[in-house]
Amino acid sequence: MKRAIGFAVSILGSVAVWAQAPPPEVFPVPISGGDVIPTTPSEKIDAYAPGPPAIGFDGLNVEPFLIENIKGEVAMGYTTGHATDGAGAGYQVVTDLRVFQGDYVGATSSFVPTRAHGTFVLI
Amino acid sequence: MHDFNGGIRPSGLFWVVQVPDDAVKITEDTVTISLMNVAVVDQIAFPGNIFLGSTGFPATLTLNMTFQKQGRPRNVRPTSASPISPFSWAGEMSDATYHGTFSVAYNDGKFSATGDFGSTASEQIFAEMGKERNGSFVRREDQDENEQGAAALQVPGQASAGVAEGQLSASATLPANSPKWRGKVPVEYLVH
Repeated sequence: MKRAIGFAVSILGSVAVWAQAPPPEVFPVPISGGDVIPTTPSEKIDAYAPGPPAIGFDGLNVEPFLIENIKGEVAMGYTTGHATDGAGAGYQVVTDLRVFQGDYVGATSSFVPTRAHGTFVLI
Repeated sequence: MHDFNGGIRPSGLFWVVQVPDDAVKITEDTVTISLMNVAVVDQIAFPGNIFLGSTGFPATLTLNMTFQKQGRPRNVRPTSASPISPFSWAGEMSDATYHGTFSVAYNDGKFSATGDFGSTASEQIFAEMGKERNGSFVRREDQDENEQGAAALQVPGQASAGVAEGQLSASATLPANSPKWRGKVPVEYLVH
């Protein structure tokens, strides 16, 4: 009986160890569209710039985040501000910060489409 | 000039870093983000070397910021089925403001700075917040809606396929919304 219990514990312990293996990392996939940066040569970036066209942005109701296959909360925007470096020099700050939290379908390192949950910040 | 960003991933996803869920607090009207010592790079210029990937001066960023919802939400429906369209997502978005403070420091200690942004109305340019779904989440839920609508409209003795087909046709005839501003990136505003 003692041996049987020991065997059962051993089996269960193995299951527990197996269950604790970390899930594979799910890499988010960038959106398919995007804007073109007028560099030389011009390059497409996988992002849009939502905002009023009157001040040069892509328009309202334009895709606000950069990841494809997402469902969740999103916030984004642009501001200005001020900064001072360690030597006392001043800088003007321009921000484009975006955040997403929710579910997404990305890919594992084996390219398997996988649903996951995560929080991502565009800095 | 300094341009601190999250670098570019091999997939092409750029400037985006994954953070712990508890770094972001979401309420009905606010989104608060608290990041501490997140690895970033300073690419010195924008957009001149935007495509250099994660090269640049390695640094860390500490950031605290809050988005505040403003006004009534607007419902966003996908008006294009094209995956490369900026109008192929759905959600409910509200205008917003945001403000915050930050500090950055090179890993080698040769540069550091502290600052704030969005602290006055004149420092607000544009912001929005809300709920979004795109890609497979739009296609899947639209398909579900069509199936539910077909079931609800089904008359006894009448096949549902025709109703569902009709609804899909109606969706397909929605006016396509063209990305009028595609290619005109406001570079001056994308500087980080």
